[in-house]
Amino acid sequence: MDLVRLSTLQRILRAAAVALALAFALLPLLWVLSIALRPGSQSLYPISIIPTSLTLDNVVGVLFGSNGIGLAPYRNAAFYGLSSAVVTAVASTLGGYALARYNMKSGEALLIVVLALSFLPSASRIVPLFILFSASGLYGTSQGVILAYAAGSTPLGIWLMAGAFRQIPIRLEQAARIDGAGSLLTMRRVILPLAVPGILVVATLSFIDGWNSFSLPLVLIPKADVQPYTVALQRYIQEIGYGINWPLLAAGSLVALVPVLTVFAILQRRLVRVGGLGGAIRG
Amino acid sequence: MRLDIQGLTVEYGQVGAVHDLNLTVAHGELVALVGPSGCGKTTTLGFITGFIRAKAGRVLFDGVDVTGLAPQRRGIGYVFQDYAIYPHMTVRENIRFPLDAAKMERKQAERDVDEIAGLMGVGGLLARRPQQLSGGQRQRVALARALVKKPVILLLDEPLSNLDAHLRVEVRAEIRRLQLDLKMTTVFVTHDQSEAMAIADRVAVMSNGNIVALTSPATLYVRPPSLFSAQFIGSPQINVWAIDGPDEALARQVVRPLVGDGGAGLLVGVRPEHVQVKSGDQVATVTLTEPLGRDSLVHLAAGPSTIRALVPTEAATHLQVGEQVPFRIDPAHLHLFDGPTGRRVEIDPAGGRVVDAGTEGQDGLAS
Repeated sequence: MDLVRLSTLQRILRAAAVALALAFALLPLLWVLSIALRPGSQSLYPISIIPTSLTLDNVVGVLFGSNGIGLAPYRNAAFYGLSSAVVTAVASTLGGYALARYNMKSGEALLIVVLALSFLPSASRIVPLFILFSASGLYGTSQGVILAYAAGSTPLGIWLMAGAFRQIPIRLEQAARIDGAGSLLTMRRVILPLAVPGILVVATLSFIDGWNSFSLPLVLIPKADVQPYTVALQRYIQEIGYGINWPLLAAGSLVALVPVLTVFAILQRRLVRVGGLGGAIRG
Repeated sequence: MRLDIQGLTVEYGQVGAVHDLNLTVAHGELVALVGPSGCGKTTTLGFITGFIRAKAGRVLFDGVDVTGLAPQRRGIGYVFQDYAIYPHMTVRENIRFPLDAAKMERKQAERDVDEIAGLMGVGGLLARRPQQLSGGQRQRVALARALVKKPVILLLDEPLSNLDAHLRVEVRAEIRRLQLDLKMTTVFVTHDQSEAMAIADRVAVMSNGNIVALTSPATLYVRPPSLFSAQFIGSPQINVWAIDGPDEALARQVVRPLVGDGGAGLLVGVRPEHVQVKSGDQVATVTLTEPLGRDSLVHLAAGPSTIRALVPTEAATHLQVGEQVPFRIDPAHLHLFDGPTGRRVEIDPAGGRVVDAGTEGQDGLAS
């Protein structure tokens, strides 16, 4: 329901603004779609915006063809992303709970610092991580990448979980204590079940972060067979040079979009709610 | 189980602080803590549960000091004002939770849940989720959950305040019946004096972090130990006139049979139901009548002073605003208080003042 009644002109202007924003976000994606689904012969100059015929050959080619990148890079990315999601969810749940419930003198300041950390570009962490990992033997290992991913998404995760825990009335925890439950049982039976929506959101964001990550694995994983698709696609461009098969590259990007879009489609409502935008957006 | 609180002192900013509070609740007794918000009632409950750490003080169950014991190990039943039912569990899981926490064998636990749920009248709701329950049903579920483990002490924090008026009276009676049946030592917190009067063996009136009166409901009403208690207990509120102040003429007139021309520093109180209208040798003007049901509250003006009188509604309908009516106050129903301290004052046969000794703590002027 609209809180404010809009005139026809205002409504047209609003629609135009939304259309502009959508075009800005969607055109590159549509372009990828358009290239990925056309036959190779139509990808040469002069190029048409809309292909005359559609094919899945490129998608099959990039996954299974001899000159594609294969399934392994996607599997690697999924493994890193999922592992990072688990690590992030656990760390954020613990950290978020501590910040939400324990009366720490520096609690608020700590939350701000944590939030600020989550805004740091991942590129700024690459060199220190490289040095750290080289010295500690994590360089080139999957544990190293997963840790690096999780370290990147945990600050925002802690922040979101602190918010999620604050929404759980402290009365419920007190009730559990009165009912005779110790810390662990209270956590397991009362707090965690109520925090599940928040945990899901944090894990999802972390998975998408990891799945899309490019510069971290580019620097931290030298071995080709354990690289994620982001690095594999980039290497593919580098190796081929001028003879790039653009439809194949676009198909590779298209495949990468599928899990992200799927996850968003499933969780979009929860994302909006936990993101604190619920009241503002749900109409 | 007897409950003792000794020397409880909790310091907060301003609200909810408690200063050197002592309270003993006998086995099977129901004591109501009543007082305005911020007087320390909930703080006191929090100390009994162990959620609130005190600066000083001890809590004993049957003489055993449990001050350092974690809340989950005290075996207390607690009904929260907002019930605090677990929203993600069914009614059955909610009521069973304390038994699960005690690692009771599942079959026995289910039997106990069925029994208490039947007793509380929620036997048919066990499969439901809290969101599907009405306020009264939630209240019963909360009570069932508090009682299922057969607690040694039951604490009720404003358990009726979220119910509508007629349900409140009904549930109040149920709680009292159950408490008497199970002989549970109970502390009942409320800000509603009539609720406290109705349910308690003894009422503890709290003000500014201490108990200012602790006695039976009847005594509290008939012989309030302090001005604060007198004003807090009873509805409509007691009339109070100070000898030293604008009400001097009326106050002196009323109190003359007791102290003659003395009485400096006294406050004179009389409950509205003890002001007789339409007979007597004094006269006042009707300024307002408020029908309350069986009785009406009639406001009278005598000089600069206001008198509130409770008159049967049938008689009150004949009173006109602006009408001069005779009234009379029986000296036997007067309550006298010491102006500076607010303590009850009795007049001995020789006309001397005796400050009531039954009052605990300091009780300043509350008007």
